[in-house]
Amino acid sequence: MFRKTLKTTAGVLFASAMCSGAQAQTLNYDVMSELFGEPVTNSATGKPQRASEVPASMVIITQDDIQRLPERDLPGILRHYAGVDMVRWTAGAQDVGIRGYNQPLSPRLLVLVDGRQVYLDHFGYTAWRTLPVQLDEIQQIELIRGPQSALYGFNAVSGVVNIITKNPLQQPTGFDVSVNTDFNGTDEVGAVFSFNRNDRVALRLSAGVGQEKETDYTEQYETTDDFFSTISYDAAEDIQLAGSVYFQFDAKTTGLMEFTHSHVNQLDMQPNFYTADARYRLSSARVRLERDTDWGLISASLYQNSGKLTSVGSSFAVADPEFIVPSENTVTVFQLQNLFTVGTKNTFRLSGEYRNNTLASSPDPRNGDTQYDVFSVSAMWDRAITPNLRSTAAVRLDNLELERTGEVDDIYWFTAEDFDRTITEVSYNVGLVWNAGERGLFRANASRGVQTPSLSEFGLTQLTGDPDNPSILDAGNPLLEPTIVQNYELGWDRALGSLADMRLGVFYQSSEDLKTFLSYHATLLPPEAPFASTRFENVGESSAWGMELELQGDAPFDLQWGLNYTYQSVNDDLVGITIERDYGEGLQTQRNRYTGFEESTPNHKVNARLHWERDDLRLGVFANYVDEVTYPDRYVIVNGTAPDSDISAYLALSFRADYQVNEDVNLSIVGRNVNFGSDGVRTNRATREESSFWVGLRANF
Amino acid sequence: MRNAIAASLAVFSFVWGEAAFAQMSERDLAIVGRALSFIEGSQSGERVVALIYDDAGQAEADALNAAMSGGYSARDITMVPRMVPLSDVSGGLAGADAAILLGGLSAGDAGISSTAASNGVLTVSSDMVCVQSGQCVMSLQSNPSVRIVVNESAASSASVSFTSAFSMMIERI
Repeated sequence: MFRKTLKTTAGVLFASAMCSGAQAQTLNYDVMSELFGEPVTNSATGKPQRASEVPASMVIITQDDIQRLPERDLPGILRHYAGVDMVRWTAGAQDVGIRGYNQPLSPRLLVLVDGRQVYLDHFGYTAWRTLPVQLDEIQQIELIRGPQSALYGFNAVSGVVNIITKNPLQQPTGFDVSVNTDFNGTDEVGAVFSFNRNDRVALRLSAGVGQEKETDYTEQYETTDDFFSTISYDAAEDIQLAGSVYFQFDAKTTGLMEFTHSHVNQLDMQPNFYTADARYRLSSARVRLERDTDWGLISASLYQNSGKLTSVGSSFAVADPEFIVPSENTVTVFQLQNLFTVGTKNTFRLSGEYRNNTLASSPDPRNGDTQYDVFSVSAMWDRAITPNLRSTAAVRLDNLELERTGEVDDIYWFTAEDFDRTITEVSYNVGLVWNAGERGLFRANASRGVQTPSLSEFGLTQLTGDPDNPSILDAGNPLLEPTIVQNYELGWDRALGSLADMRLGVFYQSSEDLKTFLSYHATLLPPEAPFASTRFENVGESSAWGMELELQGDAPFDLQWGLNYTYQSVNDDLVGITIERDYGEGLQTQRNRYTGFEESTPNHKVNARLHWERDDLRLGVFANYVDEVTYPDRYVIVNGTAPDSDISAYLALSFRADYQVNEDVNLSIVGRNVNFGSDGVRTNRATREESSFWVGLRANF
Repeated sequence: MRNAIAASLAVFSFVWGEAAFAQMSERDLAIVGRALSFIEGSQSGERVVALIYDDAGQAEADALNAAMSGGYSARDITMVPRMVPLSDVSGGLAGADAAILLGGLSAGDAGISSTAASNGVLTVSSDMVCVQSGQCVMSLQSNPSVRIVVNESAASSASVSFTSAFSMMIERI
């Protein structure tokens, strides 16, 4: 039955209690998309919506889109979309930024798989190769540009990537396997098995194993500043395993149990542009229950991510091995949500979340655990003001209680008591969507996102040199303030006759209290600290504005085309942490921070694609243009000689050809960045990317 | 994105054929089939869909009946047509799961609405007037974008309810 109409003035909780029930159903993406003739999602507000009704700048990348792109990994897929900055630092390490501010170990993007965070909480970044998901099992990738903290909490400040996998309860039993190889050290195999028993119980098992040959950076890097002295891996290696059981207990109740494990060795790029040999051993377990009740659609989710992460950078080479242990991080999250309608025009979501996040003392193991508990409450109100005008308002309150257990060695500048701290922050999203018929669809929204410091930024203890007389201490900073991102944007979607469909978005964004990575030189000296130390710092503010223009259409001869252009301009107002040092040539003033986005964010980016398809053949050609950038150097000597690193604009050309051998087997030949050649093109601070060619085989049984 | 933009351009225009009333297209039919799968408690399988027509809707009914001949599959649902002339509504709706109002009936008919409600039948029309007047449970249009409107009162009378996700994605009056 539809719910009885209730007056909204009765109050949200009362209304929730009095509403008659709506039936629980996990969103059936395939059927819903066919029904409405467009993708559907619940990632923008928590409410099931057609893509056109979403009050945010959102891109939905379908499985079919994925199979058309000349890519093997998720960052590669994302780089073809407007507003996305993707940097491939090494074979294994890539970073994705939304609307600028990209950097190594980019902390501003929240990445989820079916709502479970897969970004790494100990340092707030995403190691993409660790994601326990195979491309073939993806239903769609939902990319939201702009802050979404009001729905997802901390760190969804530049955007969200929510990877939705296929629900085996909505799929037939089957087995998919895919193989890619370049016959030259880069190979990968992925397999997905789905078993559906009477639409009541379904199982999905997926596994992937791969290796990607590392570029020989030391020979190709053209300056005397050798960033890669610590290289030891000659390839990135990864294994991902995932097992999920889906339950349809009855018509109104669904459940999920899921376990994952990832095992990755790769060369990471750190924010100071040093590489590190990184080893990831990550596991997760999750249960989720959803039931339609007379009170609304209630869902509960409990998951735990645990990981052991070893990141050995060059500075460790002079550290005592006794004081180097892996980072052990455990995140436990419980979420409870009720989604319900009141009357015919209003949908509400009420939710609460508890999160415990613990990082054992590392790399120096002597200093107790850094941990916090977060209690959150949030609410969302979606109202259909008229059939063509819809408003959404969401607000969330997070209360973080930080602490450090145990004693801190007195060589560090802080004590355990410095961690007894509470952070309370409000985030919000408000939006309007107006469907003006043939004039198009107009969208306006404002949002406030909160990026809390990571546990490492709060509490890292890293000792270099003699433990009794350390040469320098790298330390967390329990006094760090969260970065606050405020975003305003306007969007306009419309059809340009039969020529093309257009999406246009304009945004303005400000970021307060940006954080910087550990500096190369000490920023704290005695008597401010017992020993020379460097620590994470807030370094000021920045603002950005930009636009995203997306066009796509059909052309004669069965051609489909797409073109998107991104303009973004960042204006930093950062505090320089300066120090004067005598290097034998007199005092020099150094700016000890690596943060700086004004020059490292490309102003212009263009992505273009052309597809042709007939019978069993499919061909696509792709172009990606990225404007010139300048990265901050590792240690900038203002009046000295160390220059910033200039990267010229580049154009990357790629292609993909597919042949459907029969109903079950597909062959592909892919060339990525084919114009880069074997010498490569320098695409970022560190890397000369080379051409990459591979063949792929996909089979479905 | 193309589909998304097309869908975003929902307007109040109706699908007018040569006749002076809204007509049910095959695309509409596919939407009806998928919507049936979101009725609460729905299982996969066959659904009997009554095509109720008057003289003005005879040709349209014949065309739909032909299109659905042998069963019209929409994912897990297979719609089996049943031709029901206006004169036989009282008997023709027994055992039906849904009824599509055609021809001059597409704007609604009090007698059909009452009979369908008592039989627990989902009434569907491609004329928005029908749902707005409460004489249909659902009206829909597929061009230029999909628009589905459900009358809660009519749905309640017919004891028809839809799943949460579907309910939150359509217009309800």
